[in-house]
Amino acid sequence: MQQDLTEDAELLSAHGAGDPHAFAQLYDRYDRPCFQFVRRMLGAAHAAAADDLHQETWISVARNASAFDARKASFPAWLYTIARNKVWDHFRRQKVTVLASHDEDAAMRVPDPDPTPLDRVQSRELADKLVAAVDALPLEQRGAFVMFALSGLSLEEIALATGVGVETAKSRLRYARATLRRALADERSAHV
Amino acid sequence: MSDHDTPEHDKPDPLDEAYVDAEALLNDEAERAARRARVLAAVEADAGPLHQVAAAAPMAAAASPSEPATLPNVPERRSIWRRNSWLAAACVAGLGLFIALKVYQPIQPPRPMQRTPAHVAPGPRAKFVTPPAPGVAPPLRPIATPPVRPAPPLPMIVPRTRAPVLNQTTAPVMAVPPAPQAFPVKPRTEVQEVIVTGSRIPHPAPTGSSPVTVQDRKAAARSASAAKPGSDGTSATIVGGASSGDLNAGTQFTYAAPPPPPPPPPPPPPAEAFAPSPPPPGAALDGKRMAPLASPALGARLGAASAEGRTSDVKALLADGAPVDAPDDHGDTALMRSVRADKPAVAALLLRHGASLDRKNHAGVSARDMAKLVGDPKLDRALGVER
Repeated sequence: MQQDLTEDAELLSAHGAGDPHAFAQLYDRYDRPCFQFVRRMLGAAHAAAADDLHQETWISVARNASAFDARKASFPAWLYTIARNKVWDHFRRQKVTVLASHDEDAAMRVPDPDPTPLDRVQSRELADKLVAAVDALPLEQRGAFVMFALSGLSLEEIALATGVGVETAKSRLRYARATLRRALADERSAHV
Repeated sequence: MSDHDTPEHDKPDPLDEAYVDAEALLNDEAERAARRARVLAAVEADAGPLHQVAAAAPMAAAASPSEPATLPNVPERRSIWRRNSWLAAACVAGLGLFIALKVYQPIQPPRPMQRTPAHVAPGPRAKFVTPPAPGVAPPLRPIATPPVRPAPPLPMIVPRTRAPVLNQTTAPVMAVPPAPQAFPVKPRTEVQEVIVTGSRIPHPAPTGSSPVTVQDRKAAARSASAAKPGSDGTSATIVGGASSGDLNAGTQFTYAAPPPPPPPPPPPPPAEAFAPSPPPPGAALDGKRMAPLASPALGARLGAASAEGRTSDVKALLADGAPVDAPDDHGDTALMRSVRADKPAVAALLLRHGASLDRKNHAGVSARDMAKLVGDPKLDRALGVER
C-alpha cells in the first residue's frame, strides 16, 4: 500500500513533467472507485451527472498535479476530496438542499447485527438492492461507506477527505453499516 | 463502552465486501472504456494550453524576473492622451468664450444727443440753427431741447434723415441746390434759414411752438426772398425737417422765430434794367412753392424748353426758380435760343421775366443781333426790336 502511494505520487509528478502515460496509468488505478463514489454520492436522482462530474474531477487532478503533496495526504484521499467537492458544487448549482440525517440517532439505538451470510452478492437482483440501499443512505454516511468499502481508505483518510474528525468518520461508517443491515434484513433472512 | 468505540469498526466488514461485489457485478466494462477515453481526451485537451502556458512562463520570468507576467492583447492605458484630451477641451472652451466676447456686443441704450459742434454732421441736408446773439434778435427756441438744461445754447442739429420726395406732377421743379459738402458753423449773430421739405413737412410740432401751415410757409418764403440774407441781420428763421422720416406725419413745422414785418415787395423792374443776376437762393418765384437755390440744371432745361417753344414748361421752370439768363456752354441764354429757333411767344415770356436782349454769348452775339438775323417781324414785335 505504501508502495502504491509512492507510485501514485511519482505518477502524478511524471504527469506534471509531461509524461502522457503516467496520468493514464493513474487513472486506470482509481477510475472505478472514483466513478462509483461520484455516482453513489449523486444518488439515483442525479445519476446523469456522474460522467461529467467524474470527468471534471480528473481534469482537476491533472491541473493541480503540482499542488499534490504526498506527505500530507494519500492520493486516494486527495482524489475523493476533489470528487466530493465536485458533487457538492453540483448540488449547489442544482439548488439541492442536503438535510442532516435524522436516522443517526435511531441507528445508534439499533444494535450492530452479526455478520450475515450475505457475504457475497450472488445475483444481479441482490446487487441492485444493495446498491439501492447504499443510495438511500444519508449523504455523509454514504460517502464514508463508499470510500471505506471501495477504496479502502482508513478512517483518518476519510476524516481528512470529508473535513471532519476521525470519530465523526467512524460514526458515519458505523451508521451506514447499521442502516444497510436493517435495510437488507429481509434479504438476509431469505438467503439464510 | 459503546459499539462504535470498538476497533472493529475500522476493519473491513462483510457488508463492505458484498457492496464491492455488487458494484463489480453492475459495472459495465464497455461503458467504463468509453468513459476512460473521454476523460483522458478531455484531460489531454485541457493540459495542452496549460503546458503552453507553463512553458511560456519560465521564459517570461527569465526575460523580466522582476516584472509580473502580463496577459497579451491587453491595451495599455494611455493616460497621456487622457490629459491631452482635457487640455484640448479646455482650449476649445476658451477659444469659444473669446470669440463670444468679441462678437457679442450688448445692446446699449441710445445716447442722448449732445449738441456740440463736434457732433455736427456735415451731411448734405443737415441744417443748423445757431442762436442769435443776445439783444440782436429774439432768442430762438430750439426744437426738442429739454428746457431744464442749463448749458449755454449751442448750435442745434436738426437732422433730416430722409430727403423729401417730390411728385413731378404736383411739383415738377424743385430748386434744390447742390448739397454743400460741409456747412461751416459760423458764429453768426443771426441765422436765417428756410428749409423747404416739400408740400408736406413731416415734423411734429414741438411743445410751445406755434405751428404754421403751408400758407404760412409761403408767406415766410416771400419775406425771406425779399430780405437779403445777412444784409440786415434780421429775418425769419424757419426750421423744419423730418426728424422722424415720416412724410405723412404731419404738415406742420416750426416757425421758431417770428419774422420781421416783410418789406413791401419790390416793383417789377423794367426789362432793360433787370439785373442779369439770378434771383437769390431760396426765393419763391411764383409764390406757390419756395425754391431756395437755383440749379444749373434748371437753366439748361429752361434753354431747351425755350428752343423748342414749350411755353408752359418755360413758365414752370421760371416759377421754380430757373435762372432766366443762365448761359449754356456756348454762352447762349434761353432768350438767344428762343430767338434763334424763332419762338416769339417764349421770347416774349422770357423778356417779361427779365431776360436780357443785349447779353452776348462767347461769340459776341446778342439776342438782339440774332433777331435781326432771323428777320421774323412777329419775333421782332415780341422782342420790341425795331428795324
